[in-house]
Amino acid sequence: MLKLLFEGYYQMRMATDPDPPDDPRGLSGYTFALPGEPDLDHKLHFQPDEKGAYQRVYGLPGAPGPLIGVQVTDAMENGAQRPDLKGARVRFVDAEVVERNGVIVRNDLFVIDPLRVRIEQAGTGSPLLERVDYLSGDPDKPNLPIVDATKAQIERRQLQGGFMDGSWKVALATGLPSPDDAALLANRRERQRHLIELRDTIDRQRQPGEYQGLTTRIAQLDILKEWWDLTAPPGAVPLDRRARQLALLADGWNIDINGPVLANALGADEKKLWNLSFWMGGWDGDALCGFIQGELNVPLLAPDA
Amino acid sequence: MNTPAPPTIRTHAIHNREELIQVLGIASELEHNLMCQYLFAAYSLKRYPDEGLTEAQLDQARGWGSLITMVARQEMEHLGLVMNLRSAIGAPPSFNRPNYPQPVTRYGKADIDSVLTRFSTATIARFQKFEQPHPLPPGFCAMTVDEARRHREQARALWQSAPAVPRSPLEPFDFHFDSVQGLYESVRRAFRDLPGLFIGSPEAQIFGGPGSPYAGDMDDLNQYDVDLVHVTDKDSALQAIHIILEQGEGIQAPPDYVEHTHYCSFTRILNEMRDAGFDAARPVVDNPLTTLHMDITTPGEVNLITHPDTLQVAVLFNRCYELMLVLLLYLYGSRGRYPQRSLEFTNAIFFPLMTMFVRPLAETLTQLPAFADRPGNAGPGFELPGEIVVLSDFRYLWNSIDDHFRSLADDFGQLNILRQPHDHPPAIVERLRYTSENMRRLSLDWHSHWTDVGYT
Repeated sequence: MLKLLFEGYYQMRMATDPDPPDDPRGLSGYTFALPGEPDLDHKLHFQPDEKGAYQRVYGLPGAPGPLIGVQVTDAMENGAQRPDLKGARVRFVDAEVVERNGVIVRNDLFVIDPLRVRIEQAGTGSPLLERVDYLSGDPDKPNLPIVDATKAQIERRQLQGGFMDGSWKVALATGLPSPDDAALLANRRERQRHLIELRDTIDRQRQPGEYQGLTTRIAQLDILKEWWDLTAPPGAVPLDRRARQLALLADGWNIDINGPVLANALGADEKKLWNLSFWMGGWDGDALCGFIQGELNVPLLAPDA
Repeated sequence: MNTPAPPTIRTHAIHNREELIQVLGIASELEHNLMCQYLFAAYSLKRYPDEGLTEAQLDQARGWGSLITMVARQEMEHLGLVMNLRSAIGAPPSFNRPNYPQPVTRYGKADIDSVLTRFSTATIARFQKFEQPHPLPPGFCAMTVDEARRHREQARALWQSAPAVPRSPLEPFDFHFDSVQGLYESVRRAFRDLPGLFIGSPEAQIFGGPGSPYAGDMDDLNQYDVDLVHVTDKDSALQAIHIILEQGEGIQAPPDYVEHTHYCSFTRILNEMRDAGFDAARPVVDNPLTTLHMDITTPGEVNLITHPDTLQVAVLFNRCYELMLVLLLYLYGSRGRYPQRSLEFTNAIFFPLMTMFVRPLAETLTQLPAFADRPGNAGPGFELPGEIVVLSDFRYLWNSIDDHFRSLADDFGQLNILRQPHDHPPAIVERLRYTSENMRRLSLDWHSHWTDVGYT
C-alpha cells in the first residue's frame, strides 16, 4: 500500500449565499470577482498555475495569507518512507464543491464533483498517479451529471462528518493561535490593516480598479459581527461567517475512487479501489482560500506482478 | 418638547382586532411592494465587463446592488414579521399585492409610488423617501453616537405623545397613514393598548432561534440572517414592530446602528452615485409586464413585453415567483397542521426557489430585449394573476405543487432561447440551461418528498 499524506491551501472562487453558485462576479454574498480578476469559476484549484486560480495579495510584500498549493507532505510504501514523493503536487482536476442551494444537497453539505485525483512530480509536473472517480459507479455511465445522481451516489461524495465551529484541528493547521472568537477577530483586523497599508500606496486616479478592489476587501473585513441581528442581546451579537469560518471544519470525505486510471508511474493496482479521505476548513473569505488535509491510499501491485 | 410636532407625527386610531388585521394587511402589502421595487432596481444594475463600465465602476455598482439586496432581504424579514403579527392575533397570512404600476394615492397620504424602475438617482431618491424617519434631523446619518442617543430619546418621546387621529364608530375606517413609520406607530399602539389580542395558534408562524422547532440546527433560519420573532404576546409583538422600525427608519435604532438603516443605506448610495457620475444600470424599461392585469388602472405606464423569446422567460419568472408565494403562504398559515411536511416546503422555498430561480431569471430578464421592434430591456414584473391561495386539503395542495414543478421543468425545456441557442448570447443560454436543469432536479426532489437528495 502506498499512503500519500497531503495538505495545503486550495482556492475556490465561487459566489456565496444569497448569490446563486453560478453567479460569475458575486453580488450580495461576501465573495466577489474584483477588478482585474477573472470570473468566478466555482472550481477547486489546488495549484496556482491552474486556469481560473487567482492568487490575491494580502498587503505590502511579506503580509501573511494563504498561498495556493496542495502537496504531498509524507509518503510511505508498505510502511517505509518514500522521501522522493514528498513535495509532489496534488490536484482535484476540475472539481467543484456542489450544493446548488438545496437542489442537490442542503446546508453546505457539499458534494465533490467531478472527481479526478492527480499526483504529479514536483518541478516537472509529470503525472505520477491519476484516476477518475465515476459518480455513477458504473463504467457504462461515465458522465452521469450530478443533477441526475441518486441519493446514494450523492452521499458517497459528500462530507460524512459534518461541520464543527471553533476547530483546534483547523487552527493548528492554518497557524491561528487559537480557534476562539478573539483570535479570529484579531486575524481579520490584521488582514484589514495590511490591506489598508497597501491601499495607501496606490494612486486612486492611476489605478482605480486596484484601489476599488482593495476598498471592497477592506469594507468586507469590517463586517465581523452580525450587526443586523436586532434580536441578539447587546454585547452578544454573533460572530459573522466572514470571521467564524476561519476556524470552521468540514470533515469526513471518504471516497473509494473507482474509475479508469489515467496515469500510473508508481505501480498502483488499477483493479482495486484507491481510497481518498480528507477534511477541509479554515475558509478565508478574503483570500477565497481554504485548507485541505487528507490522504490517498493506493494498493500496489505485488513486486512480481 | 417645546416645538409643536410636525403634522406627520401622528398615529391613526385602531379600535379592535378586525381593524388591526386590516392595517397589518396594508403593512404586508407595503413590505412586499417595496421589496419588489428594490429588487427590480438592484437586478437592473450592470454586472459584467462587456457592459460599458470600467472595472472600478462595475465594482462600485456591485456595492450598491449588494446594499439594495440586503435592504430587500430585510423587507422580506419585515414581511415575515408582519405575517407572524397577523397570525398571533388569529388572522390568516396574506401575500396579496397589487400589480405594478399603481397610483401614488393607493397608500393615502404616504406618497408611496408603486412602480418598477431601473436603478437611477430618481429611483434611489424615491426609496430614500419611503424609508425616511419622522422627525428627520439634519445630518441624521452622520450623527455621532451621543447625538444619535439624544435624538432617539427625543423621537421616542415625540411618538409616545403623538396625537392619534380620532374616529368615531360611525365614521368610515379610512386608514390614510402619512408615512411607513406612522403606519407602524399606529400598529404599535394597537398592540400596546388593545386587550385579548393573542388568540392565534403559535405553530402557525415561521421563526428561528431559541424556542423554534429548528433551534440550533441547519434549518434554523436565524443562521441565514432571517431573524423572525415568534409573536405570542404583547412584548414579542412590540419587539417585532421595534425591529421593523429600527431596520427601516432607524428612529429607535441603537445609536451605532443608524448608518445601517434603510434610510441611511439609500442616502449613502445616492451620495456615492452623485459623486460617481455614471449610469450604472441597463436600459430596462419601466413596469415591463407580460399582460395588462385587471387591477392596473394606469395602463399608459406599462411596457408590455413583445419580444417573443423574452416573453417566455418573463412568464416562467412569474410562475416561479407565484409558486414561491404559495409555498410561503402554506408555511405561514398551515404549518402547524402538518409539521412533518413543513420541512419539505422549507426545503423548496428558502434555499432553491428564490436563489436558484427567481433571482437568476430576474437578472436574465434585464439583459433581454423587451420589444421586437425598438430598444429597451425587459425586467422582472413580479406579476400576480390574482389572489394567492393555498388549497385547504393537503393532498390536493401537494399534488398541485407537484404539477406546478413538473410543468415548470417541462416548460423550461421549451424556451426558444434554449431550443435555438445560437441566436442568443452564450452567457444567457448557459444561465438558462443551468436554471432549467436545476428545475428538472427540483421537480424530482419534490416528487420524491426529498428522499433522493444527499445528507441533510
